[in-house]
Amino acid sequence: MILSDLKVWGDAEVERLAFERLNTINLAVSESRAYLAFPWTTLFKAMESNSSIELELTESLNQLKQKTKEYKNIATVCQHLGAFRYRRLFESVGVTHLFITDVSPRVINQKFRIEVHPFPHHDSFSSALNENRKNELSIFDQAKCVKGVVDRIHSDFGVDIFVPCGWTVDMPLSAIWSIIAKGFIPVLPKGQFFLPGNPKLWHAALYLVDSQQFKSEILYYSLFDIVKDKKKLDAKIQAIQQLNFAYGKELLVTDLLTFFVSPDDLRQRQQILTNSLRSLVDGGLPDKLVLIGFLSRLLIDYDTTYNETQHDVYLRESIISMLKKREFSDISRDIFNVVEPKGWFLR
Amino acid sequence: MVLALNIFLMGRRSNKTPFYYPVYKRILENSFTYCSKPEHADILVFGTSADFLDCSGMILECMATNPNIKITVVSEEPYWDMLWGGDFSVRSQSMLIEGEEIKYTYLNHSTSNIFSFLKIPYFITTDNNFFSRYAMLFSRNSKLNRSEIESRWRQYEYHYAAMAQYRRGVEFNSSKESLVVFGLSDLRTRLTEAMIKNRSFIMGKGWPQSQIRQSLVDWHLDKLSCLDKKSRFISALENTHQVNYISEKIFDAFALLSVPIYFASDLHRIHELVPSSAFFNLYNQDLDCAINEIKEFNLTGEFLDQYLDAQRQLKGLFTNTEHLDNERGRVCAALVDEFNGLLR
Repeated sequence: MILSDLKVWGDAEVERLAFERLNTINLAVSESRAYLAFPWTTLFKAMESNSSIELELTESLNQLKQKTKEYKNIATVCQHLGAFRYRRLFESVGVTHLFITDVSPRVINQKFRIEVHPFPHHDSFSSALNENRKNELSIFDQAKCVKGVVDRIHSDFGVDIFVPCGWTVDMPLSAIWSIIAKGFIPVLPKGQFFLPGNPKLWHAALYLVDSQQFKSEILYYSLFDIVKDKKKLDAKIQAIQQLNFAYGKELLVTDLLTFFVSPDDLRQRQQILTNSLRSLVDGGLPDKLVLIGFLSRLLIDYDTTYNETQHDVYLRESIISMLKKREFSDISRDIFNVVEPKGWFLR
Repeated sequence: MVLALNIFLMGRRSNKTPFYYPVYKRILENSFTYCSKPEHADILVFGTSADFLDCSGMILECMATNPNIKITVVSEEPYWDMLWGGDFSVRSQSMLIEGEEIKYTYLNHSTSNIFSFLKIPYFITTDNNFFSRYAMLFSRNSKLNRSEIESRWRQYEYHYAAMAQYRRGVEFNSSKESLVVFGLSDLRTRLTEAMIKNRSFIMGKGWPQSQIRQSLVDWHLDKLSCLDKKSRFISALENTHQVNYISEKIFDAFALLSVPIYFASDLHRIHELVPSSAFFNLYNQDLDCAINEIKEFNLTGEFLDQYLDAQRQLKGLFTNTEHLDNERGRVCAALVDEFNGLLR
């Protein structure tokens, strides 16, 4: 389910793109999960500059808030560099999973009600400068050295494959997406960023420099080691190719889709049903009934069951009624293979 | 009071059981306690009986400590059943280890309902990435029309692609006719050998200049990124034909906008998921004739219609999360049922 009430996207390009991709897929999802499509970046910029559009967007957000109440888990994407500063606002509209393009370890390591996940910048936004990093990193000298080493590798071996990024405003992290798109290997300071997806894949693709123990000669020989060994270089290029595919225009939101296929909902429903059925069992029914905890999620309306969990008789009668009515044609084979031959409910 | 069942995963191939995959573990923890020590378990879970010998000491120790302990093999790989499973249609089996008879229950595609899927084959449910990647790719593909597919297809870099281990020999060619289970590794290797000189892309252990795919960080993403819209045919042959066993291979081939080469008897359940004429079926075909057909193959309007239908059906399958939830719920229910039965 996508919740949106959109009149203007403004500068919120990543938000717009994520919405369009999800809209294309038209995913049918569980009743407890929704995606909130909203031009956060445009709103935050308006709030920071007292722009007139702020009022319009705030009203739109308030309307969406009425809809978000119906869902337990809500994901949204935001490209604004200071997105995390507005976490209270995200919380107030019910966002539980925040996908942002600029995630630092500082944010990830803190415990908040909202789960924060990294999200890719699309390569067309690579010119955006990462002002936040300017003061955070303070590694201008190292950045110069990295650039010098990369230039030396180019000049000594004719290999133009490494591109520094994430060091300073001149080499912003956001450029990583366009660097990858062109098939180059980004050279980044280690431990400064969280990138979406599998960290091992990023590790295989990038060259990460430990900026705490930075020495230009060590960096030079490390890059040389990759350049001279075709297997190592090919492995990096192969990993870059995979990242480019995973976060290119066509797949872009696959990480976001995993939010909708989380096993957590199923786990929670089964916990509730198993517990209530266990109480039935404790009441003297055969212990075999515990398996109905797993099957009954398929039979019974979740919300009703949730509300009536404490009422064993209701639950039992619901199961009996559903079994009798056979309102579950596509799963009846499994249900009846297990339950009906024993004749527990239909006798 | 009904308590959670105490299990311990034993043997290196227990990482190929539903209990191991994080998405299943998250749900199964409702009903199973994953013991940190084998002696605390009521049931030892293996992925194959071939691991018994490696773990013989531990098994015998557990049996000495707890004479009631149960041993079970939950085999998701028909290929392993064929190689090591003996008469794998029999649930109750035994093996002599160091003079002791070890009795165990063999749960596999033939002896239980664990892998009898409703809509999504079991293996695809073991990792969220399959579902989300297919959701994206089938959404993309289902928007194409006949002429778009045809014009792309003609420009593809490769005529044939395969990513599978080189396996030749009779041991990879055996069959259990009564169970409609056939080894296909030898067949798919022979097919690839015949196609290797025809603008082909071949990867897999045992082939020249090839890497071991399991060592890749994300072998599935690697396959998708290497072959997307690049090969007219992709070998999607399973290592084993079993009517309920469908791995990612045929879905990958469709997702990558290639024509899958598959092997499916009339009873095979792939026919429930896509039109039977939307892929190249080697079943009941002479291999040499089939190779010639693949080499000479031309897209016809009729084939393209079926192929597009397949893309749309797969989009429907992989863009409804309820299918995935139901399937996982069903697998867990079947496991609880089987394991409760073991202790009864």
